Amino acid sequence: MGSRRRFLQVVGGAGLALAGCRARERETGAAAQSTPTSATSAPPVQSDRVVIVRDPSAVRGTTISADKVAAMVDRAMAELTPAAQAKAAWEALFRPDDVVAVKVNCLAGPPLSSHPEVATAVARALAEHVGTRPANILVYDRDGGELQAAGFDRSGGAAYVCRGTDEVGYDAEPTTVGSAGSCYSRIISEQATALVNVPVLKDHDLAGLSGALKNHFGSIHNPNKLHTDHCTPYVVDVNCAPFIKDKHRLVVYDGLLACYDGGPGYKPTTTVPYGAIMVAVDPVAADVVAFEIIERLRKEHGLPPIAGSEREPKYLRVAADAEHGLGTGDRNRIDVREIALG
Amino acid sequence: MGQELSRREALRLLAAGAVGAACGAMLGAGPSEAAAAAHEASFYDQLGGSKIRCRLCPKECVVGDRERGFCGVRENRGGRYYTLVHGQCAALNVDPIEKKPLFHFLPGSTALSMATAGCNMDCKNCQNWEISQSRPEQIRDVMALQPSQFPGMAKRQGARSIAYTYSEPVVFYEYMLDIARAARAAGIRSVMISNGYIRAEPMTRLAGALDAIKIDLKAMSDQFYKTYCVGTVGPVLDTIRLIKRLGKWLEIVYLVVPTLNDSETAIRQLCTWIKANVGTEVPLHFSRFHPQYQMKSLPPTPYETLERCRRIARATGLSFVYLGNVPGEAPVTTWCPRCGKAVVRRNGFQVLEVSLRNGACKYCSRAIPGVWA
Repeated sequence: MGSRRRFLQVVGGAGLALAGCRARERETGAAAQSTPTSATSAPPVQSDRVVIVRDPSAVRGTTISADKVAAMVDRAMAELTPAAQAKAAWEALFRPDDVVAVKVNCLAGPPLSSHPEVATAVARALAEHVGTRPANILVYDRDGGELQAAGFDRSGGAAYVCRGTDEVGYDAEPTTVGSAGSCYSRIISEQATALVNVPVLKDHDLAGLSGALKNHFGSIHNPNKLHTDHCTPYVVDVNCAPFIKDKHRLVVYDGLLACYDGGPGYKPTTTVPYGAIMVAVDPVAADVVAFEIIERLRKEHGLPPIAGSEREPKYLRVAADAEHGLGTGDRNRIDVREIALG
Repeated sequence: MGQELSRREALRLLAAGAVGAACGAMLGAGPSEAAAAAHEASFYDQLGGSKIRCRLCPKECVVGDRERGFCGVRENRGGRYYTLVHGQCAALNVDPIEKKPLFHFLPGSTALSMATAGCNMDCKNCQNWEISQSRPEQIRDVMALQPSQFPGMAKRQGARSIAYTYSEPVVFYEYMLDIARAARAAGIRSVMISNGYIRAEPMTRLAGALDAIKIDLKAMSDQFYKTYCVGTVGPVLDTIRLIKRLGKWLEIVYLVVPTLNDSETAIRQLCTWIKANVGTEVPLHFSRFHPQYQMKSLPPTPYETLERCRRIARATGLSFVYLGNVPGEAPVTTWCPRCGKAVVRRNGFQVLEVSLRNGACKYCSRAIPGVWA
């Protein structure tokens, strides 16, 4: 086993910082299809890959099948590795002693929050494949009451610990990155060593997409200050804070439902069962693919595209540029794998 | 922003039982009751599709369902817009009126000073950012206080006015208006300490319940406002003109930030604008900057710079020019523009001597504008 630093340099390469470097290489035509193998001999994880697993039977009205969601997460994680081994993917991304913060999104209330079944699937996989203790898996969002309302288990007996930042606190001083000066949730600035991002697949009235990158507006104390200019470049700057950029490991998109218009609040008329789980290590790539899905759903429902409108999520391009290096914004360079289950 | 509210000061007041309540301004683990409290907001349009457009301040935020405006204290819930801070007092103190600063308004009196969370700007040098840049649920020890409770508290403390201050009162507009109306009915005055970033219609309605207004004019350039405050200067200038037109007592504060808004040209532009638009009798306070919040790399304003600002203002013809956050009597004393004698002598926030008779200099009878009784 190498040192902690060595681990982060190698295995953590699947994380944001090195993913960004590789994204730049790809933009210039260099081939970089996988992360390096770690000293622990874990197989590489495909950092340019976005895996979508769909199982329409996982959603029945308002009922979510926890077993099916767990199977979808497992299958998607396996597909991140050339050898199709979920365990290898988890091991490549996390250490047993990591404190893993899982950022869910409960802004829209119960109907359109990240589903507890997805967080549970992530927590159980971490426990099974990596050996992470439940006490070291911190499912969080900005508000404990909203987590409660969304159905997250806050009893203390779950596969994870569930806390709102309102119960833990924000940093006492702001951190300024680019144009965004914010106090970050102490859950990610002080407690976590690794982050899993669990956004909801939904439109956003102003930003065009409320996905993985924008999900971290729920990790800061002042998101209301950062919605000017359709959230660009603020979404990017928030994600460039070291608490996020250096700790990010994985995106697990909750696409069990999809809201293709009128988000981020819940809109029953434009929210459909989509039955998807989407995983990626690259949050920009994940958002690019998520936006493509939103656009496709809009077209199917006779709505105009968001692209080309005022609220096109321009922050995706900024996130992928050489200055920020948060991931791959070029759809042609993203390896999308779609798998149907059920 | 208003004047500094020190947490220590608030706790001291609490310990002394001075006001029976104190401020709670920390970004921490706070109760969520504030966010749950909701009172329908004034001044917004429903846009359809559950969106609204706020019409309170010039930002005119378009806010989607479940989202908040830039201020962080007004939230769209299913197409109706709510203020989350009505009745949610986040800071409460008894301050000298000179601390606001209002130098021509009941000198030597005290003001029961209150605030809620929130601001419609994001000034990089905010001295009260822990309140102003927070959402209500992030503030510890928020006090549930109804508007009707404030006049009684003010009277018990011997305060002649209630000051809406510290954060940005525009964003707690409905709460402020309700308190001010209750205060007026009880014979207590109301003063607003504001950045002036408010639309004309709400300002006009509010002015009827206020007795004095202090506006922080942060610079004369849009560039400064955009870069350091996330605002624009035009609406602030409009508000200053409107207040004057409405006949409310007005004082202006200009925080002099080294290298950013302290050039001779900038100061001359400021003074010329004041003279041309609201006249030479409006008091102008040049305040000293201290590095804080997100602007810690700049030094405090040199005293010489403040002196230069005052010279320019006087040369422009402004009659009442003060220097703030500096020691000594002279910078904060009111001098009669005609005979040059001290008519309100101060040291810091303390009033040492008032030499006015019926609102005029007792030595030469020159009228000194203000609200003196």
